[in-house]
Amino acid sequence: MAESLSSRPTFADETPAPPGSRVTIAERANLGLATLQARKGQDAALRDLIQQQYGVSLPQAPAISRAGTIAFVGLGPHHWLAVADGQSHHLAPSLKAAIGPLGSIVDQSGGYVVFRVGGAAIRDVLAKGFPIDLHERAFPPGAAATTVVAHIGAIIWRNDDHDGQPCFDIAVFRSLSRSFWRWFSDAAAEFGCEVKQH
Amino acid sequence: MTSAQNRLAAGGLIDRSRSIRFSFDDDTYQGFAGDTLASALLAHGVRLVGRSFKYHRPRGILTAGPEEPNALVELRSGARREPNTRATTIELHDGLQAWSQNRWPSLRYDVGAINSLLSPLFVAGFYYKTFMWPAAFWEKVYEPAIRHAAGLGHASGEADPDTYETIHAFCDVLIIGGGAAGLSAALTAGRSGARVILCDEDSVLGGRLNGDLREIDGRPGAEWTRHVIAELDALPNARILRRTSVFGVYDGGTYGALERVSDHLPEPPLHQPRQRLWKIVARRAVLASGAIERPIVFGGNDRPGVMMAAGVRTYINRFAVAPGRQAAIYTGCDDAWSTAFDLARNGATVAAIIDHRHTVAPQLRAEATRLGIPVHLGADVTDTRGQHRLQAITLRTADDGSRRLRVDLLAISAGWSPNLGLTTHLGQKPRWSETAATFVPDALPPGMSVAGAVSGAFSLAEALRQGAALGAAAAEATGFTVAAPPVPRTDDDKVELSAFWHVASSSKAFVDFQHDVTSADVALAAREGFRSVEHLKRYTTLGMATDQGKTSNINGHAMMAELTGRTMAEIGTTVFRAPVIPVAIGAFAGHHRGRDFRPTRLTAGHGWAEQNKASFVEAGAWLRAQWFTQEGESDWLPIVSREVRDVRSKVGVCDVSTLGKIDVQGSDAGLFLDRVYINMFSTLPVGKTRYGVMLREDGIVMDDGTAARFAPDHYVVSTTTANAAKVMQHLEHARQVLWPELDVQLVSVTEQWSQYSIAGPNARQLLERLLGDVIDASDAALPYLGCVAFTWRDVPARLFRVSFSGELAYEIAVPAQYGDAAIRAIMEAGADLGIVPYGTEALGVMRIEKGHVAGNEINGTTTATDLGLGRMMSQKKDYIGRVLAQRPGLVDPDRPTLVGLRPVDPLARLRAGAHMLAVGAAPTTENDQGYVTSVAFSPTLGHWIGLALVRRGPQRIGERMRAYDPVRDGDTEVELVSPVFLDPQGARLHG
Repeated sequence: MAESLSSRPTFADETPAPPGSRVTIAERANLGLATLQARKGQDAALRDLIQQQYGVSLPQAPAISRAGTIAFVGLGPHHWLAVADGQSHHLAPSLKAAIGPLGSIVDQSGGYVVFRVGGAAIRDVLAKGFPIDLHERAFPPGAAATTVVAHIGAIIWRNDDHDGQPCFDIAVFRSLSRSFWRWFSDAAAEFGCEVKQH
Repeated sequence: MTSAQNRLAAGGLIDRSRSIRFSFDDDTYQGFAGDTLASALLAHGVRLVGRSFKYHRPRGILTAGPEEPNALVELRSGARREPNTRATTIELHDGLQAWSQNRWPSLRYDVGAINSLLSPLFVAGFYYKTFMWPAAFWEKVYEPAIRHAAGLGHASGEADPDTYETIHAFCDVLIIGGGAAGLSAALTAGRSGARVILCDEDSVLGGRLNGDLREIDGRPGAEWTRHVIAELDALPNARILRRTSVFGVYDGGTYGALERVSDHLPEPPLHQPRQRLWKIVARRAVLASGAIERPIVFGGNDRPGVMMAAGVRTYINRFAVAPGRQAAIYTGCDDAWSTAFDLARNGATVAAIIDHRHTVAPQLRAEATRLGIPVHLGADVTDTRGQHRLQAITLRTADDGSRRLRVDLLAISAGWSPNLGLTTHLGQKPRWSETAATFVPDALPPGMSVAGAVSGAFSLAEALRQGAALGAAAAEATGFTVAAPPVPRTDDDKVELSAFWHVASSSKAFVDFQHDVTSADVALAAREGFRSVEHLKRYTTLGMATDQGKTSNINGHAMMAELTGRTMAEIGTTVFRAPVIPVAIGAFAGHHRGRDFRPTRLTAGHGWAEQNKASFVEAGAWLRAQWFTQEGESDWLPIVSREVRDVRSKVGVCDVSTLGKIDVQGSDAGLFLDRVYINMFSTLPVGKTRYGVMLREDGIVMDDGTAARFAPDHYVVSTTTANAAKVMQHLEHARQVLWPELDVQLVSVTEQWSQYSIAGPNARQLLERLLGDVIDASDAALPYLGCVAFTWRDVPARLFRVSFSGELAYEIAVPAQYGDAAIRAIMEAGADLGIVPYGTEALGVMRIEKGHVAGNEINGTTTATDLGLGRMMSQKKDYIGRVLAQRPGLVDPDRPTLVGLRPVDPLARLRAGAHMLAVGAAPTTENDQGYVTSVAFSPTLGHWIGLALVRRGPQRIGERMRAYDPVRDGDTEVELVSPVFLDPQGARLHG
């Protein structure tokens, strides 16, 4: 049997970031991503099952709920994005096994690239592209939004602060990750940007 | 270098320890940090700085602010040259270069000044009257001549080397203007904890407090300002944006603002933009934009040395420059008397205060007497003298006597007009206030309040009081609690005035300095019936220059009111549009210029394709490989022909990841697809793929593609690249709005899967090598239109046996993070089978050879029957578009229908877009029989082939026609043939 196919990191052939560390960015490599939609009339049963299986209350708003290594982001009515560390394309089949006929599961591990961004100046950078209010009062940890950044469709959610600094995850379609990086590195240049391995 | 003879020995907000060298035209000068170009030029006694737009009159500096109509200069050199910058707002920096505009050969000796002598020709409306005959002259003579003469300044003509950026901000309270009222509002709102943004267009906050010597709470105004700024800076919820002009008000509490980040520096610092465009969303806004001083319209009022009275005070108090030594004041308001006093206190001789009013407050007269200034009440200035600078004025005294005074500075003021442009951007109109003798804001944009001079309250005490009150109200309206703010004490305000606008005069009296509109032009407009303010504006161009008439509109309107016997309230005023200041297009574009104009979508195999010398073509936002150049190849047609031959004889691989892919699940998925496709999908067996066509509601074909069934409740639909988003939107509409009762879930998986088409006689052999250990790819196990999902090299994969090329072909899909590895694995497995990568051009040639329709045929005008797909339209079910597809016009048998073409002369080239005519028929619209949609050179057949939509085409096969292309001189005899040029039985496909 031939060797496994290897996945390709987004930063592989990008121009380096301007030096400095007031802003950080990392690709969440091998992230498990899958969309979950409730089958007709199965909302309540699905919620109960997710609560029972994963200890997560499915958000009924643009928000993220997390338990351990799995989290669910509310994308729309009856529609969530499941996110799980390190599970890559294995998340979808495992969700499917757990949920059965209550929901429709679709692997999106290849569909999005998720960037984790943070640092002291991160809000000043994001303000250059996101048309939404990411201020502490308007977008606390656990908030999420499906929006646009620099003409690129994006899902953004706020994690718990990291080292006393705000920390966001941004999901963009994989085909647009280079354009996203061109915008981000441009916007972050004045603050200096450190590309981290996640 | 000349000496700075007009610089005062002490005072001002300049930094005398930082000397700055700069140049204007061919001379170099020295100024100080804190100077503007205007103040530094005035310090050197430079009066003449430009020529006017139409008459090329010598012009100087009129104001000390952004409303400046005259002192427009070209700034910087080379690619950074910027025309029409206002010298009054340009902060001096080392090495600054500026040039006067609109003069040739030099500022002092300008040939264009002849226009002034020809002025009878250039009256209002001269365009409409002068260049009428002969008509042919307009394009060849008049317009080029006018274009050469018109315009102000010159653009660099080079790409802008600097960057711009856009940024979003949100706040509870936006304060526009950092003068007394704005600072007072910001402080009150900021102390409540509300998120406050304060924008001020100047580099130094304080507004008039920097130009006037005023006291607040017993200390100088500038000192009070510093304390307020320090407190605001310490508040985490307050942000001050300096050098930032709010230029527009938009719906939903949105404001546009331009921050001049680096305009005051020789070059932008590393990683800093030249300018930053702010989109600010504010729940409440307090507009504290102050007021603009009004000139008086009298003969020779444009001569260099005639300046606005408050501007003169700014030069004295802020910049420590006395703009003249022998001055006079001409006014009708108290405020301008301060200018006389400030001049006298700083050593200038004030030859006269000329006040249009017959009585003024006794304390003003007392102060004038104390300073030894002669006062003329009930008097007017009727004319001025001096070639390039003011040398004398003529004044008419109360007893109708005439006197001439030798002066080099005349400070004028007819009072103040609120700077209310922003209040009118959403359609609200100002109202006339008799007491303030000006138009004041009336109805306001939602969420906005106005404080200080912009409201028509011109006293400092009132500005501070209103600012605090409205800042508090705005914070409270957004849910914050405000402690009652103490209102500071101020010294006495001098705000009395009588409204007056112009003085009859025999010399040219300018209303609009920037557009050279005179009192005579206004009178002409009145005589010729252009009497509404909107007509006056268009006919004379009053207020249509880059300054939007900030110093001129109201004077023009007042004169028109007088000429037509109407009150100011009756005549009204024009309103303003965004932007209130000129904003560079680059600032709006921000990051999005050049290749970043819009984001680009790249497939997972893009890097691999680049390495293999792909040329790319834009397909929507995607870049797709168009062809792959091999060693020794240069011309595209041989490359594409080689790719086609290699696919048809061996095997090729093409990245088809850009095609839309939609995952459809749910117990009603089959039923749902039956309703959106013209053909049946509920009957499709699991493990099979079917070609399908979707119609728009109006019966026209929307898109085509395939749907594969992986489980009873799971399909994957494919769309064309171009229509992927449209189809997704269409299906979501159907699911959410038309049939919410169905159990269907949709999600786009276009980005999830990297998909490669492997086509050619060796395709199966390649697959066996690649996948042989995991699936059976034999014809029996995977017949034509079969599909299978499996795990390959530890990743999920899907294989579809579909063909666009007509060859034995498969599409293999893997999650996109493995797309790069997959294409490399395919190429490796196919190396000794002669595999080649092929691009969209070869793909296009092969689909034309097979008569498959694509975007050229599915063009928004064709029905399924037009495309030869009518038999697919199911009679057993309803579907979107079915009813309207039966309209008589759409079932007319005479409609242009798909047919193939081949040139009678095998060497002739066909052109897409050519029109189809009967042989011998005249090329007229009546004789038009259809048109050519797609053409290609077929390397398989060795000649050009085409697809066309021809009236009753399929019934006319064998007939000869003309493909007539007058645009490219094409007129080719063609034969109508079957659109399937190759392998009509599909032997290759099923091989």
